Parts: sequence; structure tokens; C-alpha cells
Amino acid sequence: MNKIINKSKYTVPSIPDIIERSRLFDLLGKSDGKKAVFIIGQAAQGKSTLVASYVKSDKRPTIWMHLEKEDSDHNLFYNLLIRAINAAIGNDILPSDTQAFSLGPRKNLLRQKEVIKFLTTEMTQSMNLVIDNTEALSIESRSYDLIHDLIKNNNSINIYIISREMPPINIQDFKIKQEITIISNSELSFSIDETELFFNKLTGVEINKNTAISIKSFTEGWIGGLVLLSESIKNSSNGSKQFNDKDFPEMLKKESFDFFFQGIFIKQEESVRKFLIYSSIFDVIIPDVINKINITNDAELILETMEKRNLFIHTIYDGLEKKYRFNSLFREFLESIYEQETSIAEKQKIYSCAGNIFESFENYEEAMKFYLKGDNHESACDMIIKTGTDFIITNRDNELKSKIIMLPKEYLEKETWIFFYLTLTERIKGGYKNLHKLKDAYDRFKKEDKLRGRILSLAFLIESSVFLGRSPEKLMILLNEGKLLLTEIAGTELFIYARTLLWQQIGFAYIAGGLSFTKGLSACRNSHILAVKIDDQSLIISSMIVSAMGYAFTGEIQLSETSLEKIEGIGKNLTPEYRTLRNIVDIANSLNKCDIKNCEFLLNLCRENIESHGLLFLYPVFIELSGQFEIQRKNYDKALKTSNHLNDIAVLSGSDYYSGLSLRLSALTHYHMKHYEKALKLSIGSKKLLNPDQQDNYYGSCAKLINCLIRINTGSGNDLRIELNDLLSYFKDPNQFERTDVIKALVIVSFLDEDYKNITNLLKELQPDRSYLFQRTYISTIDNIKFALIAFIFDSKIISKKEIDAYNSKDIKNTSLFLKSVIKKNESDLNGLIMRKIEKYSLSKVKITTLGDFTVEIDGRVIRNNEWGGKKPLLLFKYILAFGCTNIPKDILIDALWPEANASSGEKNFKVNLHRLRKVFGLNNSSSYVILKHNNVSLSLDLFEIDFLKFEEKISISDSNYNENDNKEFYSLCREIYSLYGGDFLSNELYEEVLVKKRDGLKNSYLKILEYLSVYAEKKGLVEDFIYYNIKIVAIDPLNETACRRLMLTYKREKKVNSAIKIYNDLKNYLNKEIGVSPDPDTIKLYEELT
Amino acid sequence: MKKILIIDDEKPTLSMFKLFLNAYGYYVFTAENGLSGIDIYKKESPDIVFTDVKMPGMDGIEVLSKIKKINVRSEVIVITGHGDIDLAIQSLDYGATDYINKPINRKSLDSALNRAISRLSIKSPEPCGLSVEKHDQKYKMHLTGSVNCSLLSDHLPNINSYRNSFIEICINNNFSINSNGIKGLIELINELKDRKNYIEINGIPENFIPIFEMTGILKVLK
Repeated sequence: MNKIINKSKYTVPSIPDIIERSRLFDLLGKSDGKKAVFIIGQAAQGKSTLVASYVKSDKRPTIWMHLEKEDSDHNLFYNLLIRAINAAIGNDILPSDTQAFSLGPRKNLLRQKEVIKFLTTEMTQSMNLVIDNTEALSIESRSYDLIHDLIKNNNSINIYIISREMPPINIQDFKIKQEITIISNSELSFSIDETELFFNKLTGVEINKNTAISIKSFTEGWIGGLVLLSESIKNSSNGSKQFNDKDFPEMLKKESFDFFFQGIFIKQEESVRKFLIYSSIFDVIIPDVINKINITNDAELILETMEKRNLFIHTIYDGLEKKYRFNSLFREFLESIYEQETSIAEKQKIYSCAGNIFESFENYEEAMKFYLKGDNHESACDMIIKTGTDFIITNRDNELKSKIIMLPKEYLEKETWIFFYLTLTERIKGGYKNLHKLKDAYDRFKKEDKLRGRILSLAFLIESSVFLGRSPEKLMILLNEGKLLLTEIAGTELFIYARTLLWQQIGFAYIAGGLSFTKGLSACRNSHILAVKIDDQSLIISSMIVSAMGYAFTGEIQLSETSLEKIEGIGKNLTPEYRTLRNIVDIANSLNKCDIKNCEFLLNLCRENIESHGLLFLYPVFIELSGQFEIQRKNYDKALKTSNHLNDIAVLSGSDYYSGLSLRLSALTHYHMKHYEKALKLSIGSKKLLNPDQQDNYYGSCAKLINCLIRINTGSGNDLRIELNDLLSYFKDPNQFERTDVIKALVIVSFLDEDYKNITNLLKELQPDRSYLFQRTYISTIDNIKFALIAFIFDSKIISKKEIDAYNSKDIKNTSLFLKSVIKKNESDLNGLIMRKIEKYSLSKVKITTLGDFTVEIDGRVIRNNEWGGKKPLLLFKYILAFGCTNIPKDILIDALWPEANASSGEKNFKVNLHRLRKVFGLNNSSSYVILKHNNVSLSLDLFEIDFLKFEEKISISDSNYNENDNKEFYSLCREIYSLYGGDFLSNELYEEVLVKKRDGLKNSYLKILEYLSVYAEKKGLVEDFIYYNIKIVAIDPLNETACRRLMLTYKREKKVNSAIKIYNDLKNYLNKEIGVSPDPDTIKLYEELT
Repeated sequence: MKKILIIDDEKPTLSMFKLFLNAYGYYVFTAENGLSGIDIYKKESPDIVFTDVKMPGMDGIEVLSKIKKINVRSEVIVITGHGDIDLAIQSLDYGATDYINKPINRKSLDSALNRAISRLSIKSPEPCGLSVEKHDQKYKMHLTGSVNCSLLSDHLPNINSYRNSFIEICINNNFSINSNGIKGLIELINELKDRKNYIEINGIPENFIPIFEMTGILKVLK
């Protein structure tokens, strides 16, 4: 019954016999595709009839909302909208309870706006949405905000707003963009033809054209006036069905409505009059109800007759039974008579009677309304008790409050339920005061031994306690009490809804309060089982969201993700809690994949969701992830600031758990910053706070891992290997980066312990696909280098030389020295082998620049000229470079450097100068840099970074890719090569033949690249680039006439004639000076065109 | 729903405050600097203002002065750095009704909020008051309102009548104090001690305990 009654608010009204108004239909048809159509006209102007008849002729589904004053509460408006949509579309595509559960203050309007945005922008199904009787909303109603949003975001829905006056919605923008149509009184009023048709076809009163003109002028086309006029004629004393001007007042306006209503009303039989008066108390008239009240036995007949006569009554057929609704103006008229003519006693009787009937139909909300009107407080109180929970869970707090305050105050004392429900309407926003009231309610229920009341009040008491941050001790008392209560009735079928709610709040408290995640998750499981049993979708989603939150809090991202994936239905994305948790899971996954860009985007999205919806309980985990993100991108200052902020949160919320997370973040940051002592202290603190009960949990284990990583560097850990092995058993999943970190740490520790066998075994544990190289890591760069070097020594397949070279050379050198210092202790063969392998990495790297200014840098220090021990060692080095760096027969070098010396003095000179050269790279290990083997000289290229070699390597790649020169990557390579060429090879050594030969070779390669880039710029129409590259070509090769012509032509096109002429003149002078010729005829012709 | 304005130049602090105070049931406005804080104050007339003291541009003391000029009864709670008692007292001299130290703990915040709400519920501001009631050999001195002057001459003319007695100085929830008041209170305690009275202070608001400790009031008692 409840549903049937409510359904009338979203059922399209039936259409009485009407005159087809094709001109208005055309107008509506033309408005298809507009954001909205406003139908604004006075009462009884046929607005609803017009739209109802129009949408009924349409095949699209129609969502009809008949608003009443109570819908001024945006929660009720929203609920009505969702119900109407679900009814029209046929299945529950949208949840009415997206705000049933909240991890923050209930910002319902915002959530509702989001659903509306989704509805209007995402739903592709075309449909009609009619918002009728809009004038019923109070002027300050926030429901107008929702209507505005419906219009603003609308893409495919035909929205019709029906109102007596223009609703207070800002429509200026829509008007300017011609996105809306407004049909007003002037369009709605009946034309002369329509007036004639109305009388002749519908009323049986015959009129001619002239009379129609006269009526039109009197009534101004007002339909209500036409109906009233026809009625007054039919009921006139002479019984004539002819129109008489005398029957008509001078000006028929709305003000004369009552006059005509009175006219119609008094002509009715007394029983009908009584029926009409009493029926006016109902929003929707159900014949069965009227009959039961004993007003009449013929309700159906009277209503049908009135409807046929178009007497201000609409029919609504909701598929089950026929119901009626008075025209609002007519109802107001009848209500005023009811107020005047009905005694208080009689009213009370009738209201009570209506209340009884609705109660018998089990429509308790409607019954409550009438009991309250009839001052039948006892029964009203009963109904509030029966329906209170429904009001609360559908967020109709204000409505419930308005009902409760209609009861005498003594009911708050007398009836705990009433006290409890009133308190609930203020929950959370009532602060501590309300918390005490909830406690009072709970104590009273306990005293009265009302089990359902105890369960519900305790559930809400726990929720408020969490929000208001009560101490863990006080929370635990409530939780234990709750669990005890639930255990007592476990296995029974009693109060399952209330029990589900209590389990859920217990789970929420355990998790949000950081008390025990295991117990929290267990409570959520209980809540979920019960919610499934009663098939309450809202509670099912809530329990899963709290579970997902629990997993996210403990860092169990995979489990959190699984929990979220189980949540079904379109509505989940409209729940901010779901969306934000989804963000958190995605952030963690992006972090794990080192996808910094995506992670940054998701963090911003997540912050927006948390802040706009006030999702307090997701804030700390979000901040923790933000800190991890900063560490990942090596922004340690920001990471420390974030950790301080997390500490602020911990202090404010009084949570040890958040303190632990803050310390952990800080410890990890300091570890990466190599502040090992500080990091160690912080990590010990975090270990204690995150793992207080010494039971394995994710964050606690991560804190342990970070502690172990720090201890690798502080040397403070006898049990380090044991602890790392424990962690290896905890982090079982081979894809987990934490497991990789543990393995890496164990490899380093094993190396330090000289347990080489274990290293080999550990390296086998790493994923063969080397995916761990692209994962997130807690381990610092320095420790990662330690691992990489050790792994490279033991198994070069794990880490390649290239991967090691990618690290900073200074870090590699320092790390090698450290490792060397460790193995010196033992002189076994294996140690000797390892030592030799490490040796190389402990040497300084030498950076040579030959293209442009010649420089040699060792560990960032530039070698000064006087450090070369004379000109010859330097020249020797330059020749070694020019001859290609490796495998150069020493005789070639001797010939080049000492062409006139005999064999023995040449040999001697060579030895002396080689020795001097080697000394430049250090006293120890100097022979490692310049090797003389089998009379061949080589530079140890592992230790050198030589620019022209890199240049040549890239040139060789570009040569092999030349055929694909249209491809973007090829040009990107060319640009890279271009940037490597800093100038001519060893330009200071102008006349050394070997060097000149090398220089020219490199220069030609560079010119080739410039040509490629010039061609690319021309193809892409990049004029500035084209000019730039050609200027570069001409600068290197001033006789390149083709490049000069290209430049002249481009300057000409760009209308830079002077520049073009300058190019020509420079070329002409150069040709003349260098080879004594003139430019080509083509070039001269081009010049002449310019001048 | 009570309105609260928070002024702090650190965005994360504003976010955190907003989330917590929203959850407590307040309507929260935030401003990232003093200037926009004043604008919001003028526009929204919040019931309570929290302002950080150290901010670039217009600092918290200036914000406080400006707000007090707009509405002398406004409840302005100043946020100071950890242990920055001097700044706290300076703020109280400028008319702050309370202060809280960073990092803000729950107890301090609750205390500041409760006291602000309690004062807002009083129609006119409670003047500095000292009333005495006698129970057997024990005196109860009730210290109320904003203590900002000497307590002896105006409020306790017959100091000599208290000798060898047990005196309990009771502080009520609406109490506030500035540097003059601190001097006055120390003076009062010293005078009472000189007359061999045993003195005890009860009801010191949570946030004022460090001030009582740092300024030596509690030391004087010992």
C-alpha cells in the first residue's frame, strides 16, 4: 500500500477528454533537443494536461514527478526523482541511497548533484522528465539547485518544468544560448477556434464564432474560466444550454475563481459536497479509503463523474488501481471550506479515521500524518516508532524531526524511541551534546530491556564516537558491549537489520579508529553476511566499502581491490567512498609500477574527492601514499613535510597508528637521505606503533623491512638475517616489490657475511622476467647499487653492465670501495676473484670531451694542462683517441709522434710518455686506464666516457635507420646527434694530419645529420627550424651553394629580402676568395629575382 | 550549525582542519592568508575564528586586531608554534580568547571549541570578576571572565581578612587571561601567601596550563 500511494507522485496523470492543441504540440516538438521547456501559467490553465497528453503521444519513457511542499527538502526531491526514474525505465538503474553510508559528514546535496550529473551526462537513453507542480517548493528550497543541475547538464532528456510561476532558477545563461523554451500564459490560453471547439465538442453548450470571440475576450483564453463558465451555464436555473452574456462577470480573472467554485459547489447534493470537503484532506484520493471513512459509498462514481465533466480533478492510474488528485486551486478552495465548516472534534475524528485506515493498510507514514493532524498523539507516536528507522536510513532526518516535534514534549521523556529518533536527526552535527544523548538513549533502552533499541542506539553511538574521536579506551568499551549483545542473539532471526548495522559500525570503529584491523574486517564480514541475508543493497555496499577501507589502511591493496571489485551495480561509481577507495587502490598500483605521472594525476583526483565529500577517514591513508609518492620521485623535502603533516593528523586524532605511519614515512625518507642514525631511531618507533601486538600485519612488516634496510648501513643488527628471513616468509608473493627488497637486502647481508652460496640461491628467487627492475622499491639507490654490483659479480644475467652504468659513477665507485673493504678480510681464491671483479668499479670514471673544447674530467674534476707532464703525453692521448681508442699498434703511435726517431729512441720515448700519461689517471691502478697488451694500446673503455664515440655510435644507428627517415624516432635521433656535436674534433690541434682526418670525418657525419634535419623541417613546414639548420650547414661549409640557395629562397618567401641578399653576397665573396669562381647560374638568377 | 573560519598559510593544515571540524558538525570556511581571511570574516560572520600566528604578509596578530575591530566579541583562537608561549600571551593581549599549540591535539582543540561555544552562548561578555564564598575554614575564590587587570585593589580590597586559611581559586569555563591579568594573579597569590594562606588553583583550562607553568603562577603556588 505504501508503495502504491507514493507511486502516485511519479505516475503520469490520465488525460480527460481534451481538445487536441496541435499548435502547442508543434511548439513542444520544436523544443526537442533543448535543455528544458518551462510551462508557466496560472492555475487551471491546462499545463499538466498539455504535457501529459504530449508525452503520452511519445514513445520515449516518461519520468513524472508531482512535487509537494515536503519536496522542498532536497533529500525528498532526490528520492522522488530516483524512484520516478527507476519506475519509468523499468529497473533499478540508480540507487536511491547513495548517501546511506558515509565516511565523512553527510554532504548529501553534493552527492545528489553528482548523481544528477551522471544521470544527465552519461545516460544515453532518450526520455521525458516532467517536474509538475514546481510552485509547491518553498522559495529557499535546495531542490531548485538539483533542478538547475538537471537542466545544466542535460544532454538527451526532454525536461518539462510545470509551474504557476517562474521558479527561482538562474536561467539567464540558458536563455542567452537559446537552450530553453518558455511556454507562458499567452501561448497556453485558448484561441477562438479552440474555445469554440471546447464548448461544442466537450461541454454540450453550443456556441457560435461570435460568442467564442466574446468568451475569449472575457476569459482571456483561461481554461479554468471556460470550464467554470460551461458549468455555470449547465447549472443555470433555466436549464438552458445556451450561453447568455448576463451569466458572466465583467472580467473573469483568477480572483473570481472562488465565486465560480462556490457556484458549482452549492449546486451539488449535500452528500457530494461533504465528500468533496473531506476528500480535500488527501493529497491523493483513493476511492477505497474514502468509502471506508464513511463519507460516501459512491466515491468511485462521484469521482468519475467529476472527471468526465473536467471538474478540476485528474486521474492517476498506477497500473494497480485508479486514483485521483484535485486541481490544486480547487483543492485549496475545498480545504478552506473544510477549515471553516468542520468542527475540531469532527476534524479529529476524520483524521483519526484516516489514520486508522492507512494503518490497516500498513501505510504507517501516511497514518502518522493523519494521527498527527488529528492530535492522536499515542497512535502518531506508535507510527513514528514503526517508521523512524526508515526515515533515518533514507536520510529524511528533517522530515522525521518535523513529525516528532509535533508531539507534546513529554513524549521525549515517556518514550525512549521518540527521544532516540529525535537525537538521530541531529547525529554527528549535534556534536558531543548529541553523543551524550545517544548514550542516554542506549541506557534507557537497556533499562527498559528493549533489544532492538539497544542494538540500534549502540550502532549510532559507536558511529558518533568514531566521528567525534573518542579515546580508544572509551571506544573499546562500546565495541565490547556491542559484540556481547550481538553474541547473545547470534543464530536467531531477530532484528537482522539492526544487527547488520551494529556489526558494520563495530567494523568501522575498529578500522577507522585504528584499533584492530583484523577484528574490524571480521566484523565487516559478519555485517556482510547478514546484509546479504536480508538483501539490503545499501548495507551490502557499505560493509564492502568498510572492508576495502580496512585493507587499504593496512596496505593490503590487492585485497582492497578484490573487495571493491565485488561491489556491483552502476551506483557504485556514484558513491564517493567507493570512488575514493578506488583512487587509493589505483594510486598504490601506479606507485608499484613507478608510473609517476598517473600517480600524480590520481593523487589530485583523490584529494578532490576526499576534500569535497569530507571523507575524513580516508585522509590519513591518502597522505601516507602522497608521502610515498614524494619518496619515489626523490623529493625528500616534500616527503618529510608530508610525514610531519601525517603526524599532525595523528596528534589531532589521537591515533598511535597514524603516528606509526608518520614515523615510518619519516624513517624511510631519512634512510634515502642517508641519515641512517636518525632513520634508525624513527623506524624503531614506527615498528613499535605499527606492530603493537607483535602479530604480522602488512604495515608493521613494512616498518620491519625499512628498519632492516637501515640497519644494513648502520651495522646495528645481529639478528638482521633472521629478521629478513622472517620477512621473506611474510611477503610470499613473488610479484610484491617488498619481497624483492627483502631478497636484495638479504643478498647484501649475505655478502657482508661472506655467505656467497646463499647469494646464488637468493638470486634464483628473483623473477626471471626481470620485472622487479621496473617496480617500486623501499631500498635506497645506494643499497640498490650494492645489490646490483653483487648480483653482477655472481650472475651477470640478473643485472647487465649497462644497468650498472646507468647509476651515478661516483655512487658506483663509493659502493665498490665499500664492498672491497668488506672482502679484504679473507684472502681465499673466491675472494680474490670477487675482488678483481669489483676492482674495476672502484676506479674513477674519466669523462673526455673532444668535440669543441678538449677537456678531461676525473670524478668531476677537470685536469689542468700542467698535469699532463708535458705536451707529448697529451698528444699521445689525443692520438690514441684519434686512432679509435682501442687496439692501436704502438708502432703507429711512435711513427705519428716521433717520425724522425730511430726504433729504440722511439720505443723509449713512447714508454716514458705512456708512463706520464698513465700517471694523469692516478698512481694506483693507472695501468687499468691505458692498457698495453701485445704491443697494442687500448683505453679501458669501461672507465671512459668519450663524447665522439657516443656520437659515432649514434651516427651508425642513424645510418642503419636511414630508410625510415620519415619516421619521427629517426629525427628525434638526429636531434640527439646534433646536440652531441659541440664543435670540431680536437679543434686546437689544427695541423696534425691524423687528427684532421678524424675531424673531417666527424664533421661530414654532422653535416649529414644537419641535412636530414633540414629536410624534416621542410617537410613539416617548420620554417624557423629549416632556416636554423641551413645556417648551421653554411657556417660549417660556406661553399655549400645548395644550402645557400635554400636559404635565399626561404628568406624570399618570408619576405626577408635583405637576409637573402646577404647570404648571396657572402657566398659570392667566399667562392671568389677560396676558389676564384662565381656562383652557379641558378643562384645568380635567384639573386636577380630578389633585386 | 556553527560557522568556523580557519586562516593558515599551509594548505594541508587547512584541509586537515576542515575535514575534522566538518566531521564534528561545523560549517567550515578556510583562508590561505590574512587578507582573504578578513574578507571571508566580513562576508560570512563566522562564530569562531582560528588563525595561525606566523603567516607571510598579514600575520595572525594583525588578523586578530582587525577582526576585533570589526566585532569586539568575536571568538578568535590563535594557533601558535610548539612552546611559543610569548606569542600566545601577546595574542591574548590583543584580544584572542584562547590559543592552541601546534601540533594541535584533540584535547586542546575540544577545550578551545567548548569554551568558545560556551562564551558565545552568553549574551554579554563576562567582565573580569573575583567573588569569594566561605565554607567553614575554606574560601572559594571564583575567577571569571577576561582577567586583564590587578585583582587586588578592584576585586579584593580586604586582603588582610584572609589569614591562615585554605583558599581555592576556582576558574570557570569562560575564563581568559592576558599579561596584565597574569601579573595581577601572581600579585594576588603572593599577597595571600604572605598571609600564610594555603592556596590551590582548580579548573585551569587545558590550553592555559602551559601559560600558568611558564609564567610562574604554578611555581608561586609551591
